[in-house]
Amino acid sequence: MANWTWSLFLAHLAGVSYASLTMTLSRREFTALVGAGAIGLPAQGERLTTERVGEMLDALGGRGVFANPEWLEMLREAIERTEGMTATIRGYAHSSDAEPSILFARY
Amino acid sequence: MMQNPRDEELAFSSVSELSRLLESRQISSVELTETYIARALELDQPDFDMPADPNLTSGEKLASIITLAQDHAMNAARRADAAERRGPLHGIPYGVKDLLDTKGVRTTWGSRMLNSNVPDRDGAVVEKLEAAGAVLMAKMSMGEFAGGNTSNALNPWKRDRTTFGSSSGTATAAVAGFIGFGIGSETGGSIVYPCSAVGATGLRPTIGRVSRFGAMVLSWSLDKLGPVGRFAEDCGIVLEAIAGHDPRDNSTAKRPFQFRQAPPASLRGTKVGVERASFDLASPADQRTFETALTVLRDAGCELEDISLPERPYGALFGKLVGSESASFFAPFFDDGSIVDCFPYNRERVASWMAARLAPTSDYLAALRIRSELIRESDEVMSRYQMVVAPTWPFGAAMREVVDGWPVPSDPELDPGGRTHTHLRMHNAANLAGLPGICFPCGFDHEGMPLSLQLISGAWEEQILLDASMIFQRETDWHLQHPPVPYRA
Repeated sequence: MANWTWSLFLAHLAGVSYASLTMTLSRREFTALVGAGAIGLPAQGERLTTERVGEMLDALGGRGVFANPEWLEMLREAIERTEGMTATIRGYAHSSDAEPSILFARY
Repeated sequence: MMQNPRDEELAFSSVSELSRLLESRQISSVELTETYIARALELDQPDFDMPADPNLTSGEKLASIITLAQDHAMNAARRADAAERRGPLHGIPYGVKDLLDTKGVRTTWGSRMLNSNVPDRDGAVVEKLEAAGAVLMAKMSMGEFAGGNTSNALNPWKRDRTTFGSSSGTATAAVAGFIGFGIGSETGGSIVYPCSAVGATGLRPTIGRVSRFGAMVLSWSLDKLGPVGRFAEDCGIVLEAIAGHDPRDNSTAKRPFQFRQAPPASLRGTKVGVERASFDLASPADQRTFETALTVLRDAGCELEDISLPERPYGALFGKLVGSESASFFAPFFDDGSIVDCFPYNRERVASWMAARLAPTSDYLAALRIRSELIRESDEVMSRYQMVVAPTWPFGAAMREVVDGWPVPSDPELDPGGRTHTHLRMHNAANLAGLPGICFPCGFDHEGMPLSLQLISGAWEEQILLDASMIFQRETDWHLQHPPVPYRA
């Protein structure tokens, strides 16, 4: 389920239809989706639609407050707003030796 | 009710002075608590119940306190008077930002979503202050979910000006003399910005210095709790009381903090980097004020040297980390639908958390990897300078923007003329690196609004920040100037 959900999100990034995800993704298709996802939103010149956002939420288990069209539109806009931030982070060159600054402690 | 001059003097006393009066039994904790409560009732409490109804019908009141815990405070004060003295905070009333759990006292996170939430536990900081004998008196106004600049608290210097955010209630109450000291929180500026707007002194500790157990989370990797007050010395006393390892907060380090209350005679040989780009943002008149403040540091023996920050994606990293971590913490409120009760001005923000929840984890990890490099870079800078100085905010507090009765985040307030990007980089850099900072008033702008300096040091070096601030406040009297009371009816 987790991989499927992940794939669904990548599909969203790549502009692949929701229906296509009813099929099992091949490894090659998955790789293509990852690659497409890395270029950011919107993919293939396509505007992110509230329908697609709704499909993503459905795949995650439900729309919750975003069943309200007004909130769904706010979420769509919020996803679009993250595009620049995401592109900046993905495009920033950093050392392959850099570890994430995650704190893990035992007592 | 008009208060007598002695009450006025008490209200603005330092923690040290209050402690001396309490220890020598010249005043009791009950009397002191009654004094602060009387002031708060007269000058602060609006007719409506915050935060359920955030509007501007607060009349002449400052609205810095969401919940005035009168019974709780009076009981605690009576216990303090009857008990053996536990230290310098014993018997002193304080307020905490309303994102920290307080047993039996409403805790709202500044949101009507939690308007009836009464925790059955105390946050770690409240536990420590209780152990120190301090008297919890009030839960302070804050921007909903510790966001930006929106809060009910009005600026005591001019009520049409912002108190910034998000610890604005704590900072406002400190300078208005409603509490002995306060506790604020900072993820990306929420202690130092409101302190700057109202002329308070505030300390952002090193991340891991103070336990966040029992506090609302905006970002586990960025949130800090710290003292806010009228004097730098007060911040040191409070920090010593609240610092320390806590197994309930993985970030906390086993590094004791013992406050050295007497500052050195001078700061001779202390190297201070001057983040010049932020000073250049100020108006010519305000630049002169800031330069005069730098002269005080120079006269104290500091060696000042201009520095500049390298171009790094500070804002994007900050946004990614806060967005992703908030998305995780607030997930239950999306899942049960209660998030719809957030204030209208915050809907776009909470939608952005949901957007972060949908984003690939790899982006979050990439941000953390870049952050590791920035931390090393900042440590390298702080190995050459004991402190970095900049205006806390290059301008006096801007107009408070309100739409349909709601305080809203406004672009002119956050980014007047689009000029503050440069300055925000420094705040983001310091917070991303988990570095401590202290801010204190250093003058007024041409409209009579406070201006403030911020000092940043290397991790775990809060003492040098306190030393420099105490010396600054020994040589100047900006921190002793209180807002006039136009808000008094």
